[in-house]
Amino acid sequence: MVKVQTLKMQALKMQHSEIQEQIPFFAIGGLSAQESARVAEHLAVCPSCRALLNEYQFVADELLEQVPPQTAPARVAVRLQNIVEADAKRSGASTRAEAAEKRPRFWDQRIVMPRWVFALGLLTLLLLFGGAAALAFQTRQSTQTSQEMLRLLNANDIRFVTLTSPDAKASAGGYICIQNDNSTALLWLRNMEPLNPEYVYQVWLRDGTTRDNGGTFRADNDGRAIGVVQAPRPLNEYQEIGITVEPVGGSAAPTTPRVIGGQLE
Amino acid sequence: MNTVELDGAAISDEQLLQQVVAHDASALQQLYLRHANAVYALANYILRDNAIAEELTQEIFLTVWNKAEQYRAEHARFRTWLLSITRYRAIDQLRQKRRRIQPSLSLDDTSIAEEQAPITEPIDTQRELHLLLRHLPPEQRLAIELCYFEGYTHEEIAAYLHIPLGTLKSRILLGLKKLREIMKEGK
Repeated sequence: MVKVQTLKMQALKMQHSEIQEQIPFFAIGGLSAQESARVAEHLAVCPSCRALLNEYQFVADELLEQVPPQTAPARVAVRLQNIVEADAKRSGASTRAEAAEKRPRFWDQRIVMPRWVFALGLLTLLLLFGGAAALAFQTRQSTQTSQEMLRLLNANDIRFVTLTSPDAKASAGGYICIQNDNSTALLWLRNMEPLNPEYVYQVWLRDGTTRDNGGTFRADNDGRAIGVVQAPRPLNEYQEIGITVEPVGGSAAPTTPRVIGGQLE
Repeated sequence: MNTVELDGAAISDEQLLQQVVAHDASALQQLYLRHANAVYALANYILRDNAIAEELTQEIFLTVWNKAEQYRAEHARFRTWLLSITRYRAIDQLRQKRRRIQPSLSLDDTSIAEEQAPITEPIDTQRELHLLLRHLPPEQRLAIELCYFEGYTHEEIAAYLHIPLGTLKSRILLGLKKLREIMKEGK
């Protein structure tokens, strides 16, 4: 009897050591179905092998995490958004508008001027903002404007202009995404100071001799603003963009110092 | 756990996923913003094709949208689950592509491999090295790449590299053990 038990123990130990060698392969899915089943059977009764598997599973997970980083193109978010919203409407489930009642969204900005459309999701502007990466957008105005935005995002010759504050200590900043010969641009700002209700931010576009009103907007409570601006002329015809604080409704000309701005040339 | 402050409350991936089950599109968008880059980077690393990686990224998030209820929090974190299905789908596409392009050539066909080797170069030497695998010697890195990111069986890889099966397994095992030590040191 004792001899039988000893043999069983030896067999279990042998199986244990064999299984231990297979666990790394098991963790990365490198075993056949038959081998995997044998390992799984052993794992069910062996805590130490389960602990070892956890360690190798961590390695396997990190292998998936630590591929060279890349930014998903913004158009993926736009396509996904269109499909999902259409599906949500078909199913009669909560729509984005309904969801807005539940909580503010990343891209949900209170931009008030007709020239602005809630857009959104830009993203990809990417890495510079610490990993935000998708552009989704929401149409509150014309389909035409949305389509213009889509065209812009899919263009190969877009460029990003950095917008900074003249005050070196200020953290406000952002980007404007423009394309030559296109009067539509995407704007993404962060760390904008919250304004009293009677004030808004106003965009100004200058070409040296003239200055156009680019629209007004508000930032959200976190200081973020993302939107679409449609200028009177193609953006590459302007030399400079600036943003100031103005009374609600906007001003005919800037009445306060520039908050942020950048050179468009 | 990946969380975000909304309305003063931390919303985890898993909580957002519950909202996705109820077809809350904005919850899916939040998940997309958090994880799309990782999904796209992994898909592109495996597929090495920007356009197909884009399609796969979209497909993965549509899977989340349509099958969120299949996720089991007790098995893995959401992000781990997401990247795992990305890897499986990407490798599946790679295998389909191999079958389409070279239906008569495969790595386990040793006679052809010997006559025409190398049939293909599975590893793109121009692409950026994997951030973790770069710590390994080239032969161990290659073995793990072919197994984990290319979807070849051990037998296929051994035949392709013209090495005994035991040698291949040793390389994979040594590589994984070293990575495990690296991860332990990093903790």
